[in-house]
Amino acid sequence: MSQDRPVVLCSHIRRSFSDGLQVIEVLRDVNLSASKGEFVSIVGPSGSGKTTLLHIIACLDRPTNGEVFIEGIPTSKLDDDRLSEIRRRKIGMIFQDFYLLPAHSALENLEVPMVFNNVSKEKREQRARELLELVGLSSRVHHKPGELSSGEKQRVQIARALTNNPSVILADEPTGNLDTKTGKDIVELLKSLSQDENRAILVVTHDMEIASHADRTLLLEKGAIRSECGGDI
Amino acid sequence: MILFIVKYAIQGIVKHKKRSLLMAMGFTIGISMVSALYTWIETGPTVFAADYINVGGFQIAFSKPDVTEWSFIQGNFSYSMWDTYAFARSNSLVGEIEAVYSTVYLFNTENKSDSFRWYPPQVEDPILMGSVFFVNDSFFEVANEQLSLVDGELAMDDDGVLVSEPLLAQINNTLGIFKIDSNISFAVAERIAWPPPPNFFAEEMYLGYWERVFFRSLKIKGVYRWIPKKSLIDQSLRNIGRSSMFMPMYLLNGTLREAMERPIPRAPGHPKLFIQLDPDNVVLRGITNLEQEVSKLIAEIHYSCEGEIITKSDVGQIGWFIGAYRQTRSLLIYILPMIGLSVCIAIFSIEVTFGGRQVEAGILKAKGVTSRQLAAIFAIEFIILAIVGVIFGFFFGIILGCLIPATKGIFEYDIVTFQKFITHATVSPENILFSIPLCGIAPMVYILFKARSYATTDVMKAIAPPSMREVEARRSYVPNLFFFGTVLATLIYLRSAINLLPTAISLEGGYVLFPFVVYHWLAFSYAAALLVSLIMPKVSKIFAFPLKIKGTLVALDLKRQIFTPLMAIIILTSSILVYCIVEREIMVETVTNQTNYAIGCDLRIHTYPQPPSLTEKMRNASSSITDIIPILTSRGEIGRMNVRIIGVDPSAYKRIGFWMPASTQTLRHEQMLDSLAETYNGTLISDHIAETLSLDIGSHVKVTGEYINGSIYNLDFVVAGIIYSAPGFGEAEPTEESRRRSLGFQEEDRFIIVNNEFLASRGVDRATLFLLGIGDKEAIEKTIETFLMMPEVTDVYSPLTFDLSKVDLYKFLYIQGFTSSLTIQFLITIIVSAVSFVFFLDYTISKRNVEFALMRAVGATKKDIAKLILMEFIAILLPSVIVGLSLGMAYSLVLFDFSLRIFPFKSIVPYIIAIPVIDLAICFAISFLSMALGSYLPARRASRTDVAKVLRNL
Repeated sequence: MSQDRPVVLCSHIRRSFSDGLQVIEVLRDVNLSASKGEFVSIVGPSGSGKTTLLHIIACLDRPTNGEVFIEGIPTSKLDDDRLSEIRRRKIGMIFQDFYLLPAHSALENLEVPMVFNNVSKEKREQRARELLELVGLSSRVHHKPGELSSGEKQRVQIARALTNNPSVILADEPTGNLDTKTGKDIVELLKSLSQDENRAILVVTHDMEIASHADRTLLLEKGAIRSECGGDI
Repeated sequence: MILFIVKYAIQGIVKHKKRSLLMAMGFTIGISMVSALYTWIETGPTVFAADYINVGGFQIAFSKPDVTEWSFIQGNFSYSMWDTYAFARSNSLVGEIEAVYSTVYLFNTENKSDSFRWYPPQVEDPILMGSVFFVNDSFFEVANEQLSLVDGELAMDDDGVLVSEPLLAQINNTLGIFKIDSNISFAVAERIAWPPPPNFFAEEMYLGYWERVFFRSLKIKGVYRWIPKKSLIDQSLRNIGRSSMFMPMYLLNGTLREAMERPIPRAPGHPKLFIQLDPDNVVLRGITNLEQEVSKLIAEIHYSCEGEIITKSDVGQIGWFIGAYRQTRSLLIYILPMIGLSVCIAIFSIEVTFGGRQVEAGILKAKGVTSRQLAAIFAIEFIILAIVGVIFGFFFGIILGCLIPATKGIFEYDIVTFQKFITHATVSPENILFSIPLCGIAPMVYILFKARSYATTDVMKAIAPPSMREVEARRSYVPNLFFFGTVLATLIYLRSAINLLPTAISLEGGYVLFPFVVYHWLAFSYAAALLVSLIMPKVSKIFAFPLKIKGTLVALDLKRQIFTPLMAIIILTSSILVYCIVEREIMVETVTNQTNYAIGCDLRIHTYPQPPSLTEKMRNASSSITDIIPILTSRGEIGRMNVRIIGVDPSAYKRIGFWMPASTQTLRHEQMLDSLAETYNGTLISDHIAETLSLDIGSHVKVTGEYINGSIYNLDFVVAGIIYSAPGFGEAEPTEESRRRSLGFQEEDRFIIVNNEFLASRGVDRATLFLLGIGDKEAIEKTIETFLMMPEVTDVYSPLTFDLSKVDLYKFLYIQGFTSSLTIQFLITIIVSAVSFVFFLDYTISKRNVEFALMRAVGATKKDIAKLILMEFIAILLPSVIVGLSLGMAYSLVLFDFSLRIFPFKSIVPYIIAIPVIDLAICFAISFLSMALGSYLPARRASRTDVAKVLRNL
């Protein structure tokens, strides 16, 4: 495990929603960090604020209070374009529902983030092929999502998350739609990404099997981190 | 349960406002366009007549004694123009026809000129038609006896009167004093046999004669109701004889007292006048100060009858207006593309609704709603929207229909005319019966079809992740347009086949083919959209490069073909816009040209004798004339049937193409003329003559005629063909069959067309010259003045005085009809296309929320998303508009050829293919810019996608 400066640092994060009548506190003073090569899992019951926390870390949402640092850059005050850039260059996202573009091939799906990063066509293709090979899908380059199994789709997602060589990968229930064996394979893949490629991996899950593979596991309850334990729980 | 279904359906409508509005709009625009045309057609005559007709009714004055010298009327009047009863009978505005006892007609034989001849009443002379009150059994055998009767008994007594027997019986008088009221009395000089003998002519003619006679004393009331012919005949038979009294020569109108008190000035020196009562169409002879004389005469011609100012011209105009308006129903073909668009939008919106609510259907089904209940929910929802759309369609149709006559330009409207039309706006049953099936059946069938699809919704698929649903929904687009297109084309075809097949056959399939052209238009639009979808990924970088945006992504997205319906709408609307512009331009130019030409053709010159050099001399006399076609004319009899003999040069005669009914625009006449050319002593006869005299092709016909000098000739002809009307004369006495085939366009006349070479060889040399190529009335006037100076010319006239105004009327109506309807269609298309474009764009984007959220998640900025969407739409818009322009141009030319068939002028002059390049460029720019601007809001919305919300909720 690397002990460098944290790639992700959340400091006193609070997030509340208001419907005009009442204010709902979803996150209450959350502090966490993840460093390069570290595999961190965040577990907790439904409604505990896991996904909200992940979205805030991914710069898709802003905290009501507190600050999120990505590679030391404070993000809460950044404008939208700057946030997009951080997402583009430093963060890779993996979703439970895959969210692949259905009419595009695996290769094309991988190209999308690189297009926004102004990578040339040749380099995009080369990188996409490398990543698909990395996740074991070199034979599925031109297959569309409808032609892939759930596990394969999730691998494509993981490959997509790696396209711009981010320092942190955020995964929201990455095995939620997968069977046990496939889920295990995906976890192994994520684990290897943190160890072999020295990336910070933050996984939100309620699956204890995944959490058991994490270097650290944070228990989130009612918007606050109740406990933290390292390794198996 | 039923209440729940209805309630749920209504909730669905309210919840999905945009989709509901679009679907209703789909119905509304189609119905409104059809309804607009019908409203205009139905309301127009009422508005026109309202200017003349009061509810109290009126009498029709149709003569002015002091300006018309009957002896110079050459017998070329069509009696329909004199026959108020005939007008009344064929006029849907006329509900009641009432005999007025006090109305009498006076003739005075005193001024009878030497050349005046008594013809049997069915001949063209309008004075005699319906006024042969002095016939007896031997009249037709001993015409001179009648003349002596008129010249004798009647002329001997200044206050003499000839009275029909029934009238005489009615007034219980004998050959004594006939007292009209306490102050006016006449001596009854002679009784007149009445009714005419049954063997007078064929029974049909006899009845026709009877009707025409009766009409003379009709009072028309402004109760607007159609009276079938049979009942009118019965009515006329009941009333006949109540008013049969006359004195010869001048025909007057009004009460006897009025007639007696009115001085009857003689035209000094019996000037040779020929007068058309329409002030715009006056052709005079022998008058140097034309303007002054015309004003004077026109002022005098107006008669005051029971407080209303009505002229013969007005009466005729009403009739023609009604006929012309009814005939302009054929303009419906101009709005077929618009109907196609409306059906397209309705069906796409149904499709969109279906695609967007699969999850809802799946959840309902999962909750236990049965398939039938599910189908009922959506069917009711759609049907409610359809009904709302139809109601609004009629409402807007009425407004648009009233705008048609008020439209002077895209931004110029005559409010007064609009108000006048809206006051009299009428929605006829025909409108409802025609527009709803045309615009509604295809979408309704589709609705039921889709409702059934809902019922069979696969629950698991419906509630599957969005990516899977999207694939399924997209697939269902492709066959739908072809489905609705086929249904639409079939409906139109059936309609055409049932109602227009006879005409279509005579038009060589023109009408029947037209709907298929429109169907191809729709189908081709969709096919072009598909093609563009396939090609665009390859070429999208062309657009991406100069804009420096994410061309690759555009290409990737275009591959998905989710834009195909949108592109189909763009292609369809832009092609309709082009069609509106081009068709309008071409039709205005061509119809104007045709009608101007027709006016020229309608000017005829009588010469006697006809020296061979005269034609050439005349041709050089006026620069307005492009050609002169000599026609030899004579009168004759076939048995007892009086006919007009028209000697033509068959090859030259083909070039005469002024007014003629649409039903005769076939090659058959030309073929017959070819037959005539091949048969030296051949003749073409009308179907009426053939039927009455049992003649057929090859039969020999003996025609007895009279030379100008009075000597008799006998000619034997061989029937070379039987025609429904005479090209160039546009007249024929129709049989029921030909009436049906001609959609009632036929005039009435009896004629035979013969080879003029043969006729000339037999010494018949009275010539009528048709002048071709005279463009306007001013040129006609100048030409008249020129020819009047020639000693050989005996008359210059336009034989069918109404024809000039009729030509103008049709020209006016058709040009007004198609320019206004196309202008309105143009504007509506812009609005509809903008609305549907934004909606479909919005829908397309809403379907892609997850995509955009995903792109944002992987680092796309808001600008990237907005640019991407704009780029996508430009990439589909540009080629779509270009394809639409090309398609519109191509179909404008195709449809123009079809649409000319509905216009009642033969295409003797070349079509004018006018392509308004500047207008098209403006159209292109406006289409492109408006749609590009229209894409701004959806693009902006997409760029502001709340990523966290979308990803979380989905």
